Amino acid sequence: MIRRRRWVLAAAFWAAAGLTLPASASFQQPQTPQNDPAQTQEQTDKDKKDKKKDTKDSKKTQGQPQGQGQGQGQPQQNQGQGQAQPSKPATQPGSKPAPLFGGSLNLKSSRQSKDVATLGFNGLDPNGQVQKGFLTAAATGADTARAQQVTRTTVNQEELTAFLQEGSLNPQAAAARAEGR
Amino acid sequence: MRTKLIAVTVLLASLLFSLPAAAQLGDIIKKAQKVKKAVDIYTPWTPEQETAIGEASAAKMINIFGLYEDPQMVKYVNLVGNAVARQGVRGVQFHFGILDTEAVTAVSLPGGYVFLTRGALANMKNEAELAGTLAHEIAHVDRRHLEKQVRTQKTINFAKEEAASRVPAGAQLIAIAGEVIKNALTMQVSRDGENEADKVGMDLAARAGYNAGGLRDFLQVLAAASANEANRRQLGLWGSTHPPLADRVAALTSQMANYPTEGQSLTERFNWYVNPLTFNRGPAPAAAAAPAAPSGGGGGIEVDGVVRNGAIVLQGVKLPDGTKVKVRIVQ
Repeated sequence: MIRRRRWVLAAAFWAAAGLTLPASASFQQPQTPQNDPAQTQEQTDKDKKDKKKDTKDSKKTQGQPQGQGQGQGQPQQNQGQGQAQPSKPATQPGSKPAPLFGGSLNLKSSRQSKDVATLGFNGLDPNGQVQKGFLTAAATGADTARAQQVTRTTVNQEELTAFLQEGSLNPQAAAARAEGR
Repeated sequence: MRTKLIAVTVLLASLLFSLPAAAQLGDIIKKAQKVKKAVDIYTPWTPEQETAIGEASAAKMINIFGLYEDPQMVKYVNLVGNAVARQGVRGVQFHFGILDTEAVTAVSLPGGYVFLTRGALANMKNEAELAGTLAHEIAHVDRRHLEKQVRTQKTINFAKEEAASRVPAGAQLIAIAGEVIKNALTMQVSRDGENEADKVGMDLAARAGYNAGGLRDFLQVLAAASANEANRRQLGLWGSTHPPLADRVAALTSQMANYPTEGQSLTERFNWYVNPLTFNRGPAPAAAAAPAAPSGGGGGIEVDGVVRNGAIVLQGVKLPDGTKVKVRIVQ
């Protein structure tokens, strides 16, 4: 008798589990395809789009330099790891954009002789657009250090006051505006 | 009998909970995810998020263009920027840097990072133009224009999945910085955003005591230069990220009527800091031409100059290439 009870209970649980599992699977697909043909078509289209997107993403990932999107890196850890980065445009003697100084409406160049300056258009193609390789490359530790240097460059109140006085500028500061949007 | 009752109850309960409830729960979770995504898109970054994203984006910007590190010139740009920024923006600490490229542009990033290029500085005539340009970028940061643009990008996992208060780090931070830079360098801020930045920027510069027409004057130079195809490389970046120059010049000109005309231009000070010799600049308009005076039997001219960074910077005059000079030190 006890065995029979156990058997019945076991069967009931087994049946319950059998019913529950497929129902749980439908948790992410709330409606079965055969119930709604329009929904089915929509789902198929969505799947196609997703597939296309996946293919695009995987292509992008293949084209990305090492260190980008690999989930292992703070920028400062990238320095010196030999990651593939597009090389900065080399300044070649003769490759200077000649038109800069010619004509009456030309812009002025800021070429100068300091060691820290490069002579030319860093990161730009002949149309003045950013080279794609540079857009996808990750910043190095040296770049992060320079960004932190920019962060640290501040002016103190005394310097600013003297600067404003010297230029006859407005010495009064407005109160910081509360963000209302 | 009791066993059967339990078995039937279990079966019924499982049926009851498995089908409709799970489906309902799935719907609820999906809706909750949609709501959360919408909230994330419209929730501004916290100051901590903004700072982290801004610094990572600045590093990437420097990776592309390099940083021009003349301490005096960088300090000067920071002084002008701070003079403008203190005229009433939300509580952001601004940081100004010079990018090492001939291209003419200025870019602002979240967290108060504002960059302009050597090319831009080389084509400005006075401090009011610099202040106007920086004020425009400060207004972009103040009104979170770029941030809003990035937050609405559906590909950003940050906007979709992460809790609003979490400060991104590691690969996620790199990805967001990449999106920020892509937006800043390849996409145009909306026309409304650009107009707002022009308007707010002019207001900030004027309230700081500068000539309100600084940005307008600089844009006029660029508009004239952009007519020449030869300047395509120098102005390409500006053109792809800003609305047409002529429209903006017209709008700024009409807006200038609301401001006093006695604002400062500070040409001489600008020429002093933005090294006129190394930046190939002509004589400062404010300075009178050096008086021609015969000097000891040579029949030459005497000009004023000062030593800066080991080089002699002439004041008030530019000599033609090949001019022979003798230097007499005057204490």
